[in-house]
Amino acid sequence: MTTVSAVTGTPLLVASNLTKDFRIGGGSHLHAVRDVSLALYQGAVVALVGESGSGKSTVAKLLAGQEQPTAGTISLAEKPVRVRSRRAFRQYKSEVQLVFQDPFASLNPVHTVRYHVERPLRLHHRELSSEQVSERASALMEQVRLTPADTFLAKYPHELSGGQRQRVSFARALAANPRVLLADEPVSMLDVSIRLEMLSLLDDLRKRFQLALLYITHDIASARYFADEILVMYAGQIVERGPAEDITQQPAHPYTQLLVRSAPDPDNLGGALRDGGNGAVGVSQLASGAAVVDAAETGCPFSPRCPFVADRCRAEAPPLLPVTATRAAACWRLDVAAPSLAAAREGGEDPTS
Amino acid sequence: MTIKRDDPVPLQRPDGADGIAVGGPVLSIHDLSIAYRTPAGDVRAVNQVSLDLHAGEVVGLVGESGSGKSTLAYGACRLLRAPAVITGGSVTYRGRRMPRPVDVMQLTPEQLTSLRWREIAIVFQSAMNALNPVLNVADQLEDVIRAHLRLTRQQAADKAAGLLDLVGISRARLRSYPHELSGGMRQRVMIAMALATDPEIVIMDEPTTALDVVIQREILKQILELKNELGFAILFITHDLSLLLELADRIAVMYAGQLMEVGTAAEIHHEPSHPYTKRLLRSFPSLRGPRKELAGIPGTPPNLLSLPPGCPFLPRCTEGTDACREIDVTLARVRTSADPSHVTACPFVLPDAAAEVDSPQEASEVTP
Repeated sequence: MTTVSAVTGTPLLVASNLTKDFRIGGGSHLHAVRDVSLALYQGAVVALVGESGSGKSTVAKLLAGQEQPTAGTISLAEKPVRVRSRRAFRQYKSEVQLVFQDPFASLNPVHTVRYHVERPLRLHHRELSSEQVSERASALMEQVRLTPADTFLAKYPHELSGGQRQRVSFARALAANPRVLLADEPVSMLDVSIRLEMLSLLDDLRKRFQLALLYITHDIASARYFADEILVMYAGQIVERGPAEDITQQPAHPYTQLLVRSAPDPDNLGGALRDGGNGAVGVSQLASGAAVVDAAETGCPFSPRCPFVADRCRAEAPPLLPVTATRAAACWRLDVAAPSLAAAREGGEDPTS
Repeated sequence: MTIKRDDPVPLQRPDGADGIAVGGPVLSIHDLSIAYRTPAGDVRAVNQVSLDLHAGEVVGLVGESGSGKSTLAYGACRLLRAPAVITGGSVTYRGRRMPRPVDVMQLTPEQLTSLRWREIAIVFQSAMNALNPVLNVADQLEDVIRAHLRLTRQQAADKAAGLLDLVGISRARLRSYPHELSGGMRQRVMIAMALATDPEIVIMDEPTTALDVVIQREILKQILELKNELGFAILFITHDLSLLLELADRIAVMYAGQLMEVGTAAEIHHEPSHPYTKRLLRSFPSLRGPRKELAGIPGTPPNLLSLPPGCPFLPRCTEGTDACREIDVTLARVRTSADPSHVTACPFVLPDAAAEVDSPQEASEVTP
């Protein structure tokens, strides 16, 4: 399967069959990430979409080298990544940077903005003189549009708004001059009115620095606008992937369909929410019982919540199979869940083209 | 909020007063102003806000962080503590169980205790922290019930179980502690708790912000079902306008402590009048339909410590003129709208509205 991102360049960061188990006591394991493969391309945005606990952030931590995968491999520019020593980790961090969700927690309250931005410059670019570090810091502040730079560099985090703090986080991440940026819910703590500005800033930085960007979010609508490719994650697995517009406009997997249907729909004034009519399936069935249904241990993880569930789904986990030339979904019941897409697959046509 | 164990002092409530139809809004906030006293001066968090809430209605209050939306709602219930001071205005509550309108500003602390929760309940922001971690669900529900209703232990326990049924949580969860529940379930427990005393008004302060979209939608749907069944009115506070457009009957847009525009969800969506509302509408990505051009709102809200005269949105407004520095921020009818309750604080958005300033007789024509 090819991806939309592929047209923009060669893969930079490639993760193959990543698996991460956490021991949770009593000898049992939590399968946080199961067999996830993805590739980030220079200058392209891949969105990883899913709900809390789906394993999105664990994927980010694995890619950032903060956690070691239980199985699977990561390679950066075709070289396998082994982050075993401190030194290797620092070396890797200069290429792959992570931006965290909460700018109120990710900046140290006792240090100024200057400290936050200059520290990675000193760590990753030891050849720079003090003047050069200072110059670079000012330049970074301008790139994240915090001007005048000197005023902002002298401030402490508590003197900044949430949006300004997140800009400092971006500047700090870019200070290492990375090729890959992993953004874990970078705007979800911010006000709706400034989210868009932050995303356009991130987009601008991606273009300017030719970053390979992973955008982790639970907001599939923002992924539609911001990402080239969307990966939908459920219970640690990728259940669907494909071009952002195709995934959001014609979701194939029942879970993606549920996600899309659950997003607020301003054009449907007082509609679906009020009448209880929510399309054929989904929300109403979930509302009756427990809100969060644990993923199935065997078979398809979504099967306990899926309206199209069949015996095979409970017995056997569906693999991620191509739907069209650029899309893939992990579902046995695609012919029922997304008949038009399934028909096109049988006929060998691409309905999205 | 502290819960008193003693029997509450009942508000004047003669027998048989239940179910009396009272005309007019169930809650009227009139010219309410609230300030936070700081050493540097008063932060005018809410500035002369008037808003009505009718029985069975969902009114959405939308605004950015720090726009004063929570302060307004808590101030209307007199839940704010120093340094917050109510500097002016009145709040009138007209419940079905009340023989006459209640002036909330004049109530004694005892009377307030019986007004709160019994008549006006609040679902607080971040359900993760609003529940007591060392008490189980049943204890917390029964605590509320017995503090506000004269019921025996057994009756309170039955009612607690009934409340969990109402919000779709299994009775087996009564003995669960908050940490054993998911975020969505905790939020449902909070909603059950708010509904424990059959209130007339439920204030919901960002009740679903911390939740996933799928769970958010389930809970909102359930809130509306409960509202239709029990007939309470909802004041829904959020910064997510896209959510309100689908959920609310009427929407009040707040900025820098003042209301910028009030209208029905359809009016706000299709005929927004105030430039701030228009910018808000263009600042969230839509999942459905063609991709539209998006634009955030550059800049930051003004410092409420030293608010310059005129329109507070002026520094971020693309349609602003020098005249905006002079205007009084008061809500006036949107002239192009057929609905007299669609009001805006911007007199300059429409060319003919600007002309209205000069020709008062034309203005009288549109008055219904």
